[in-house]
Amino acid sequence: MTSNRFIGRLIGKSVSELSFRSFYAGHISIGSIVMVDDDDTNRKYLLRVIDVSYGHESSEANWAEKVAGRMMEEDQKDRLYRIHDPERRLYKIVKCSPLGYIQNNKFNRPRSIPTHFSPVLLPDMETMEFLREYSGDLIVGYLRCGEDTMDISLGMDGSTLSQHVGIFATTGMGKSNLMKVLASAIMESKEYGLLIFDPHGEYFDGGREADRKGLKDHPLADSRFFTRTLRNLKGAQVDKLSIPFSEIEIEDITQIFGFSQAQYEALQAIRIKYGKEWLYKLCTKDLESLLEELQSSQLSFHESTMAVLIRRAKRLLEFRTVNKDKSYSTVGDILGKIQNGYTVLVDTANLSQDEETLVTSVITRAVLKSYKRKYQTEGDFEKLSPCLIMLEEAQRVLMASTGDTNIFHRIVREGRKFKVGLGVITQQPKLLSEELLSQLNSMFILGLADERDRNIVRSSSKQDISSLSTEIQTLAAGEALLTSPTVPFALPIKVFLYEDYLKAIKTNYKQTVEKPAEDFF
Amino acid sequence: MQFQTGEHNYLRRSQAESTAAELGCLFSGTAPVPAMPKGEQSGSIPPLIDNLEDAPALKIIFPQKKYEILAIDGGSSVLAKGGNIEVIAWRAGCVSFDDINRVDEKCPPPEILAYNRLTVQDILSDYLADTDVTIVSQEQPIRLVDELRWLEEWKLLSRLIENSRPQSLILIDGSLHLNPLYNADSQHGLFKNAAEKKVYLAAVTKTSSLSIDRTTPIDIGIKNNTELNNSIWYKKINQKLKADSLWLGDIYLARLHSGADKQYRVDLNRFDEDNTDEIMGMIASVSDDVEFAGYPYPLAAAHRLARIDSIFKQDMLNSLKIALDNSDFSLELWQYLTRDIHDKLNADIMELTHNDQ
Repeated sequence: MTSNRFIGRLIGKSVSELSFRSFYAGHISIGSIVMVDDDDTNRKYLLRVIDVSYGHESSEANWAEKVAGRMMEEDQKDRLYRIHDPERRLYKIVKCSPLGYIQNNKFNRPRSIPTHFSPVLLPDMETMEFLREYSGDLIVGYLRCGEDTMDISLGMDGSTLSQHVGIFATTGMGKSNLMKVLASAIMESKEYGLLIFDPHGEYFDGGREADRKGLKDHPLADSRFFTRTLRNLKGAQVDKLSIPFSEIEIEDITQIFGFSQAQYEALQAIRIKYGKEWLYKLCTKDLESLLEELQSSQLSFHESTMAVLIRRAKRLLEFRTVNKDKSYSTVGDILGKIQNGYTVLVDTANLSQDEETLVTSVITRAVLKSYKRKYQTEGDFEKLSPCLIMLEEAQRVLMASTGDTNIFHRIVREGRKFKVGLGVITQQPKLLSEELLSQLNSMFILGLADERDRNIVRSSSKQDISSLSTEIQTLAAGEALLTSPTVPFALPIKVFLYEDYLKAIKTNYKQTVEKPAEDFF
Repeated sequence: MQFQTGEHNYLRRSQAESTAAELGCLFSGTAPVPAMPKGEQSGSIPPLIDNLEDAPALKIIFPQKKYEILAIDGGSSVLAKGGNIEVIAWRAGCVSFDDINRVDEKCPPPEILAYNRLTVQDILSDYLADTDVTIVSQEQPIRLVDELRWLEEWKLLSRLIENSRPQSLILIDGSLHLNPLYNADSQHGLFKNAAEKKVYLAAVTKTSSLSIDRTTPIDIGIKNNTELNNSIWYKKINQKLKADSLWLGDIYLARLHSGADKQYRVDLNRFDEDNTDEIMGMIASVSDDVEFAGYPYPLAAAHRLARIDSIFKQDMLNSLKIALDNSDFSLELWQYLTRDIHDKLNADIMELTHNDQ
């Protein structure tokens, strides 16, 4: 076996776990995909490396400890020494999780084991070509083999966007970069709408770091990327973020304030009485006239209850995004764009958390409502682009401890049917409920340092990644695992660095900058 | 006399103390021993110099370039015996190294022979038929299997000398003593040939029987007498050989690694005496393995390659048994040949013994 791809021989042990002996000097890392070439069955088995340990040929008890002790003694005395014949005496035992086998260019799930002592090789391009079939239309990176990559582009299937997406990573592991690359892929596909809520202000121009690029730098940004913000951002398609009173519903303000049963009932009564004007009325009428008007409709509430509601409603008025002018609404504008396959960034970077929550809730609810309405209308629904709503720091509104009644939970439960998917971005998936996580059909798992985070993600994945805890723990920045019903196994991906990605695609779009249709606006 | 259970399984303190005292006498040289013979004798070694401890030690310098270093060792085993009948197995193997990396190894399956101990001379003659080695002594070898293993190593050595590049070093397990059973000229011829081809020969003895004043073993008894205490050194310990001497090698004592537990007896081809520094440097350059510090690693590798261990011995016995089952050989006779009554007697402690190893 002289191939430079040859890395070892299979030594054990079952359908669910295989091991091979590898060379002492060979470098093999967790997450690598290796191939077992089984000539007897004409199958090529693919294995994922899940652990690497030491092995030695000596049958002497505690040999390694003794040799290490001897080395330490020599070290202390500044004496030189070496290990002779290392490839014979020392080796590595590589534990793998079988992924499946390829036979007649078809990938199959593993139900048998390769022949004893079959050679183990680094996979070649020809063998891995089958993965292109599963690469999806939203490409985000290359196939990662341990610390190297292969020239096979991979991503997710856009048809699964409405089945919800999770992006999980500890800070610094590449969430934002992945998000920008995914947003770019969605933008380029022109098939899907994308709504991004950005509380950190990092997606528009890359944030504070000077060498970072944002979505505005994408060659299609002028035609397919829109930003709504209160900040003074420079760029085409940037407009003011504005939510009219009339768009706000009780459900939205319950995200901000806690209400007693009496207060909640009063809110509902006001909503019924004044319709879409309910919040406006609550802010502008004085307490007495409001109580009187309600009483005339046989609705009687305690004065103090109503006083609290008025005070809170007036607080909403202080939010810079909330306006009384119902003639202008960001919400309708956003809806129109995402339903036609455009990307919209709602920049909430300089908003208070309450205001941000309100804005997010109002727009998200409006999206779901609109898609639901179109679902009822034959013909209209088929024309709608599926959409994905990306929610940064998603644990703030999806925390298991806060119940499951808000709009985001509703989207997770119902959105799939109406082509609305939720993108959950968080560095603390352990704070989300298992039920919610199980609804996220696609997951990009980046490096997660916390074991509880890893455990909950592993147990919720659509692929069996129970043996990949160490790999997830050791993922470097920009390395990801993609699990999805449309991929044959959890795909190891090296996500494109957004700045490099832009350089690579800019030449493609130089000549073909597209403008939106004239009648679109 | 009454005995209590287990009373026989201890050593009396007085016995231990008297034996310890005897050992002390033996090593201190106070116990009388026969005087060392003077001049070249026909024993297995040439005469050693007087005052071994005072002989000058020379510093070993590592060679600047890498050489091919080969090592030879043999393995043998008596598989079965009963009366004059023995079944024996033997072989020789070699490894070659480029610095610390093994580049090649050769080790054939063992030769196996069932013979009658009364026919040893005939067997040896047959074995030597295609060589230039002839039997010159009427003495019977003590163990035929050892003699055949030695001859197998000798044949392998001949082939390696023939095929090795100049300035290769061939390491041999043991010593470069002349085998008195065979004609000296053929043995001399091989060593001269090696020197002419500039193929260096060196033998390293794991445990030497040589001693200072016939008491203290030289591999621990002789200390370096210079400032080289923490360095690596060698010193020649045999008297200068005469031009017509029958000895094959000069004997040195060498400390091949500064962390070595002891120094080793190293025999170098007497016809290479001009290259001693270079050869010692080559040997030391492969004696820095941390597990075998001070002992040339290629020899350790050759030993492990060629040895016939108990597992392999049992495997060969099983193969023999299967072959015998297909013949009309008596099972009773086979059991007689392979049974060792000690095995039966010690069956109760075998597990304990293995665990202790």
